[in-house]
Amino acid sequence: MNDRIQRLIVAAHAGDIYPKQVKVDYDAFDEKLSDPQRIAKRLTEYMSAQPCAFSDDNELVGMIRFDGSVEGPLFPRIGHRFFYEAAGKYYRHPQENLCTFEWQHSNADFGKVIRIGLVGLRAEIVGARRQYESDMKRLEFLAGLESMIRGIVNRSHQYAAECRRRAVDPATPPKRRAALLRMAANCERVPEHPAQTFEEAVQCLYFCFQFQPDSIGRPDQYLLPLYERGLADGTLTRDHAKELLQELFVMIHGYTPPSSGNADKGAESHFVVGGYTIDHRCAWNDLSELIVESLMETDLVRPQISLRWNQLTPRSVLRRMLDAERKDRNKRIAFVNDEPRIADMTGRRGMPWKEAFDYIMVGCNEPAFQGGISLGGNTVNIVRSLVRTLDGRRAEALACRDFDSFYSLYEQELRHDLETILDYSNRFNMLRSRDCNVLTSLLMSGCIERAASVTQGGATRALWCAHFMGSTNLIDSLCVIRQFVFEEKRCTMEALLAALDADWKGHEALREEILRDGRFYGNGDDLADSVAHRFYRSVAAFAEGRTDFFGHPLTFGNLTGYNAHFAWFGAQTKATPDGRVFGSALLFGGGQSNGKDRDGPTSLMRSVAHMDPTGIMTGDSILNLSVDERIVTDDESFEKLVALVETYFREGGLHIQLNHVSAEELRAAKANPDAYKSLRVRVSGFSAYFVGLAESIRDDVIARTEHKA
Amino acid sequence: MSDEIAIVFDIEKFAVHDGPGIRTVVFLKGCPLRCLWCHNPESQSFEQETMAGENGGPPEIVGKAMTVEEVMASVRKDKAFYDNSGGGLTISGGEPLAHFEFTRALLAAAKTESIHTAVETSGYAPRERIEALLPLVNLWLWDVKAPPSLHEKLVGCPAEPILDNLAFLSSRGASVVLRCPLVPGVNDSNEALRHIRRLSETTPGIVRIDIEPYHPMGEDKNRRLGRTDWFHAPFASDADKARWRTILQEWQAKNEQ
Repeated sequence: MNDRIQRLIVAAHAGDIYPKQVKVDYDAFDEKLSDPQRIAKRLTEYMSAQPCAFSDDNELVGMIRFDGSVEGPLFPRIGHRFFYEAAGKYYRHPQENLCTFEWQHSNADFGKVIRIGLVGLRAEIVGARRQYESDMKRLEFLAGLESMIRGIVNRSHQYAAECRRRAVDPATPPKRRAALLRMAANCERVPEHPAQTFEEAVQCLYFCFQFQPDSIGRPDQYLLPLYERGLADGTLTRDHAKELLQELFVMIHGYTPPSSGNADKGAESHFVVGGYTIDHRCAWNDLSELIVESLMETDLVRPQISLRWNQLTPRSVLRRMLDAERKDRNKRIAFVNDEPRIADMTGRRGMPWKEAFDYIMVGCNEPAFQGGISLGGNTVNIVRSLVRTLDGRRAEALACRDFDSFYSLYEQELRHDLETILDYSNRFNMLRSRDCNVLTSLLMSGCIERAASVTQGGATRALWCAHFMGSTNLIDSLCVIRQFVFEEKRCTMEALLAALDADWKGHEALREEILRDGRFYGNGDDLADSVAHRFYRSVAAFAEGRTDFFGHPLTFGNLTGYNAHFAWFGAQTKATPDGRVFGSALLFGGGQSNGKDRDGPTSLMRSVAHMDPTGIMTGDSILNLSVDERIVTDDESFEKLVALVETYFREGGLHIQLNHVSAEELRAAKANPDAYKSLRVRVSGFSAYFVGLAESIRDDVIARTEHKA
Repeated sequence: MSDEIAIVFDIEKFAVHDGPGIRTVVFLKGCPLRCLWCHNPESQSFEQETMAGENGGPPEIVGKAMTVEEVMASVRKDKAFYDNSGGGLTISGGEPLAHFEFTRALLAAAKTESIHTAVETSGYAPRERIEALLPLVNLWLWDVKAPPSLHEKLVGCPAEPILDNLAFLSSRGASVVLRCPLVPGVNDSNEALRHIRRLSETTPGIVRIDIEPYHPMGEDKNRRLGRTDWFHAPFASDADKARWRTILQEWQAKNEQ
């Protein structure tokens, strides 16, 4: 890494690259304009009033921060009033101890802007206008998008002018002058016109990132043609490409200011490398390698990367990424498997291969598409359905003579809760859809064609998902009921319910017996695995034929996001048959974290890989695996870890992320945070500083580390 | 399948230090030797035992009678992991050759299911047993615990039958890894190290040497088993390890080229 990039990193950590905001008094008479036109006009005024700030170390320009005075980027919905009204009511406020919502990540189709430029988008707008000749509302929206294009081009030309102004300053050294003139030419060309060089493409990406500061999708695919052309015709060197990528990554890291509560977290920007090409080849290429190498050289916490593994991925690539993972102090790398996810998209969800092959990961670990939005973030207490069965329908539960009849009863409550969750989700999304967005919509797939804001169902490439907190508690509890009450008849349903009502007080012997002899999930145990299958089949049966109110098929997952939803729900949830006591946190993710997985990592991973025979859980699902740090430090053992992860994927596992610090070290960090400020761990699809996490999350990380392989 | 039963005191999944690839190690309880430094004292007796709990927890029953099929049910679960990593089953102990019928039946069952097999042994057993297992074992993990002059004193049996068995294995073309627990100041003299090196240079079929530095993990287990007198040695120093490496790993490095 060169000195210029090193200086930019220092500036990013200091918050110096974070642009200042200049307040704007908007023209009062623009209130007469339609929403889309007024918003585009105000955004244009806002952008042109902001200083063209960049340092003498920058060769890429365009950073801007919106202040909320007008509807800005979709993520994180800056200036979206109705969204914040909804968030005030529901975000961090679980409803009925059943569900709440997290953020919704998304990705602008940067590759498309690089390829066809804003001129290409304008041509699409002209085409769409012909289709909606008599629909004033849609025409107004299209006019807003068109006006937005003018505002964006104007902004890039402002940067070009600033570069030229600095270039002619007699105090500017000749070398910097040449760079500034090149930068000016880049800004005059992109994003208005298609990029002709790799440098223009990265400038276009850097500039347009401001309008959707979230994932950058699949840069190793959409930047590849210009990368290869530049290397072939001698206009680009590998080192120069690396420098450009590193400057881009510094900006992405620095876009979230140090003062933000999320400044230390990686999920603010998450993209993928590898995967498939449209013609079914392995998509890992020289640029994928360069991107990973460039990022690993930089001491940044964002962006984070997932490797998209599939059956064509050579072991050398998986090893390369695991090697990067084990050496990365900032814990930016995770791993996902294309096979189960694409199979579900093209199968159950009926999506064509030519769309499915191109999926990406955003946020913590949400699948999405380039130019698409993840309508996820519906976080769910799945244990409630069981509590309602045992408490609300107690007489019927006590009358059950076998597990099948009990499960049928349970399934009714499950369907009731899933209905309720979907209803809440539709309500959240309806509230959120009242805002109009013309900035990000321009870069989202489908918004021009449908002439509708991304917030209002404009994006065609959307995925709906809800996340289960406590799915492992639920499955283990159903296992205990089946094993102890119905099969082995070790206790009656009355006795079990009495123990739960008393929060196990006076029933400690039963609880110990359950914890000791329970046939729990995660051990490759046929009973537990069949209960898991049954549960996920019920969820899939519920989802069949249903969509959310935008018309998207339903998928489910199990991550918790930045918030400790699993602990909040757990705090209000009474004792459960798996031995859990009132108030204790639920489990999240697809694994175990409290020692119920007694048969080692291979059994846990096989159970997780096989848990869902339907594909319904190919949404935001994660597996945290803690391994002994010696396994990653010793090269021979590390090679076995590579084979372990590869086998898990071959068996159908969807996601994995690793932690390899010792429990002692984590406990020491908890006791003495000042000494461990730089210790990073993987949490729920993202990484963060351990000492900055909520206590319940720290405890979860320690618990799963104590039971590591 | 065989109706043999053995007392198993652990089945370890994703074992990474006992043979190639990802392995499951089946630990059989009972051993004829009494190595001074034994780090698994609960593996010595052929009977089930009760060990006091860790950190004041409830007492733990060590050892469970299992049939070959019960063990195989656990072992075969990880077939996909073995096949993708070049791993398999390792039978350890205790002393597997002291559970001859069970070991033979378990190895045969693994072979039937195309699972790679390894046996970790002190080599202290009648020749016929080793000969009978030859076709069932892909890799022998062969302990070299002490030079002949100290063997009886430190381990509780003479070295000669073990060395004869090793020579026999070698003559029949077996693959062998030498496993050398090294206890500072006890069995790691230059003479002892040269013994190991000589063995590896003169015995065809030895594919590598594993150095196993002593760790005092067994001490707490001795306490929990109610024993009052046990061996103590310090962790190996960096200087010790460097000396071991100089003598042993040169051979290893040369051999791996």
